[in-house]
Amino acid sequence: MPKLDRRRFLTALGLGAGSLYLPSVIGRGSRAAAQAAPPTRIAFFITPHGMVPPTWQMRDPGSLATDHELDLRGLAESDFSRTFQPLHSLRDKLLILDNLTMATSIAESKRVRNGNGHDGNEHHLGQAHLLTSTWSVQRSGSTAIGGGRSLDLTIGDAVGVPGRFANRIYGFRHQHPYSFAAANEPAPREESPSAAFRDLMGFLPSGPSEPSEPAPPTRAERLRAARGSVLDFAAGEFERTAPRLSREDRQKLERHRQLIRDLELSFGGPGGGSGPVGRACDPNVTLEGNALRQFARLTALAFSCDVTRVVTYVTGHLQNADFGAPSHLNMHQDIAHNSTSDAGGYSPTMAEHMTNYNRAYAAQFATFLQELDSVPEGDGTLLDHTVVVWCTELSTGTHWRDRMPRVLAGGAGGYFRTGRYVYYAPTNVSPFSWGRPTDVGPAESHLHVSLMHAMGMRDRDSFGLSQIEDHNGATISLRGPLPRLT
Amino acid sequence: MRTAGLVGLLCIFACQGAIEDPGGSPGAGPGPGGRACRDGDAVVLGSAPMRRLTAVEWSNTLRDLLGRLPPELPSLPPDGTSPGSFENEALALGPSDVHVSRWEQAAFAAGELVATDPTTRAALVPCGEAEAGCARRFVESFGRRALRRPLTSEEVGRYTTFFEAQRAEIDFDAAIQLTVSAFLQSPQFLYRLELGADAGRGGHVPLTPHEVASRLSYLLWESMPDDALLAAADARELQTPAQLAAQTRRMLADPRARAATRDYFRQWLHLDRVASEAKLPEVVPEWSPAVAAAAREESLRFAEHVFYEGSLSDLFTSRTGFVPPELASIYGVAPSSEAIELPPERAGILTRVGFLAGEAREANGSPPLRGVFVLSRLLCANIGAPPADADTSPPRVDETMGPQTNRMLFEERTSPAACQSCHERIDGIGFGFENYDTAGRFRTTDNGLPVDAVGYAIGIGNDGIYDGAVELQQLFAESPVVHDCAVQKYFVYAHGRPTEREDACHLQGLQRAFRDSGGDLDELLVHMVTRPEFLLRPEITEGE
Repeated sequence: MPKLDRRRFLTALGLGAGSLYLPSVIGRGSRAAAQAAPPTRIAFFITPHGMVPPTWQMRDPGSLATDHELDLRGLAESDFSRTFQPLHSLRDKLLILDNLTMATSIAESKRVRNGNGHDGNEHHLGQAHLLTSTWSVQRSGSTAIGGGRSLDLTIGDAVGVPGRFANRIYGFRHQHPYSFAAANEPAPREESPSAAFRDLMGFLPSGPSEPSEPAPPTRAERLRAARGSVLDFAAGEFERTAPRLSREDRQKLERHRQLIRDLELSFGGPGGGSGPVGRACDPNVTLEGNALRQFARLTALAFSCDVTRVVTYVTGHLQNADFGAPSHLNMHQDIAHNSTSDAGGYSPTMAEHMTNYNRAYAAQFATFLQELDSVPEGDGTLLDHTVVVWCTELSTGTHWRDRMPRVLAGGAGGYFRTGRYVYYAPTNVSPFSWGRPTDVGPAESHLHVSLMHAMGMRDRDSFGLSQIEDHNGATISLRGPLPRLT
Repeated sequence: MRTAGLVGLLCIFACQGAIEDPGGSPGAGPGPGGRACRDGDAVVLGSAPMRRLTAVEWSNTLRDLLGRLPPELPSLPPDGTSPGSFENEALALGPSDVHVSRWEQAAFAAGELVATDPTTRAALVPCGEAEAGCARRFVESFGRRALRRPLTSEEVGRYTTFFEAQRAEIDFDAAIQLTVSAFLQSPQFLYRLELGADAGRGGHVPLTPHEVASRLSYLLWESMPDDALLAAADARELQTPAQLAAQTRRMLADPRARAATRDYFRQWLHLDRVASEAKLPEVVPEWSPAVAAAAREESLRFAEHVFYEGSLSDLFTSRTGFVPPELASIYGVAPSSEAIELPPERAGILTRVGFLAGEAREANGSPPLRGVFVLSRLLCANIGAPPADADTSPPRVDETMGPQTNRMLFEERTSPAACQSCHERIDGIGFGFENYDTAGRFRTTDNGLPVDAVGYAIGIGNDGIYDGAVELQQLFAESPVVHDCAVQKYFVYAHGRPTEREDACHLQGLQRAFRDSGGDLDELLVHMVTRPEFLLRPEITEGE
């Protein structure tokens, strides 16, 4: 399928930032080739600061010692927890998980407290571990930061189509990054919807697939094709630089060389970017509205056209007015830190603000899901062939990391049984608690394994650390998927 | 005492041992701050990780290589998204799909500029299509500047073959464009590869003259060597201390050095922070993004001035200012783009709006933020992060208690003994800035009460009592810890990595020279580049 040069194409259309309108240039019937089953995709939707447990949980307070679950499909909106009420219309497609523990992060709290000079800030450790589940890098004179390749990139490695993007990271800056290419190496995140769109452009179908009489290529087309040759040449230069470098440096260059090879495919190399696109792919997209809506559209576009199968979206910060809090309050210092009853400065008013803050994010999450759900695909919608994971780096604004709120949406092509609220009874003694053992639920690492399995990575039985010690020094295995999801 | 319960308990966990001695470096065990150097004359090398060009270096390099930046240049993802390090930290700089894609777009655009823009082409393509051997001549001349060293004969052969293939496939101009594009995507352009002149001896590998030239230019300019520097490398005139010192002085006089110096101070002194600070309109009605940007610029300009005209002490004592209109009323002077003398309460960078309003909350200055800034950036003290679940919200006036100053509220907040193990030192400095409010406006009363800015500075080598930020900075101006830390920060920036145990003698030598020079900042760079370590990198052992 011939493609225009991305940059020239945009220029020709006179597209600018803000509202991007790309007129449909495809004869839609021209690519009605039969398609295999839609691929499975995954998106991570990350909001900061945690939640207020009593206002998001829907557990049965009389059955805390036993596993139990709720059928969400039969619930009225008023039966939903206040935080999750904005998700009610999507309840058939939700899988809400109650009582997971960010065990590796808590284990690191214990570890760094036992030594000196390390960054033991729970917030930093929550951010470092959220998608890596391994010991952070403790950098000299600095803060803890992710210590390994993160889950989103790891899944992208396995499921990405050669010549397309293995993953995309969109959105905004929280305190520290969540996605890492390698230990201490944050993966780049795109804040601008228009720049993110430009990245996708060259991969979108942009012309009739089979011209009746192939015209001789123009000079511009030959130049464009030669860009693949340039990449091939550059990759060759990378192969020649190995000696007299350290192993880490050689690995970095090898990673670079592989990325060049991937990009080369997108310029028409073998098996590359001109392969079949999804039947639901429609580049006729209007990017308008706020950044969330634009990035949700871009995610739907990238998924439906199979440009990538993994997207991470880091939400923007809310303004106080977005959730009805007075402007003089600082979201982090005033509200989050005082929003649970164990906080020194606890106030019910701050808990109320924190609940409303997460309701606002729940509404954003619903918007994100609805964009995916509005694209028909196969016998369902794009959302049905995707799993979107709403995660936070803390369970509460007061830096706890047990009772993590987690919402899965979409079934990953039927892999997950949705429409349920699943409560996990405590299974472990916490790896570390404030001087007293606490029973906590299963480690989130098991959810990471389940997500990899849902994406077809069935040979994986752990991600990040495969075991840690509990409060008493006994081993907690982090291997195997989370039960009761499928 | 509403915060005492849980916070007090948690402070016990978080504060014990959290502050290390100056120079301490938790990643590398005992730091270089005074312990490990046994033989000051020994040359011991820390690691020299490969350095990817930062976004700033890449853009500067393209500009200097081509004479101008190509139009429609895609922007690279920003570097240094994590706090606490410089943006050139080698280990944090790697490739990514986004980078590789944008480098490709930029390289193609750069090639188009060289092929089609008459001025650029005249400057960079030394011959015409009809001339025999033009491909080779172009590859040799452009390649030497793009890769910052003469090409090997194999490289000339490969690039020339590539050029001729594209010329046959498309045309001569396309070959120029695509060959430029290939150079700009090669590892030798995007990374600084220090392969060394030979296999090395005794654990040391001597750098080639051109690798030394790049060390110089990226340290001093954040960009590629210019023609004079490449010529010096060709002539092997980057070997003796006198040669290196002369080049450094020449390069420091170039505008590129001023830009790079500002970029260093921007990162060291955290001056981006003020630019994104918001203030409560009811407290600071005149605050705006323009004021914030002006505050950042004023501090940068002052730092640049001190770097070239003064010493580290002047950074803390000088009243010289370049006052943009947005800051004139705060400083109580008329705007001036020329250097003027500011009122006495504006002596030193820590009395300027950039620091004071940056390290502050929306309504009030923050003694802990200001104190932590000094500890981490000026004293190189490794401070533990705030304790878990500590109430770090700005304290609020309790109306039933009668009027209270900002300081009184913070003193109550951090009064538990466990908290004091950290806050004695943090607040002992942070309270010194209480004469300046959240926007850096000078004040002698706070909430109707007189300001108390007396403090006792600990851990600065010349510990002592002071009254107010001007006196506090006079202590800093004479502090050996502040001087040593300034060298350590520049060292980290110059090497693109945290300090390591092996750096002890190297760093102490620089610190000694810096003190002997009276804290001359631009002379510090001369000291750095004239040390033997500047010409060497450690040998890579097999299996590493």
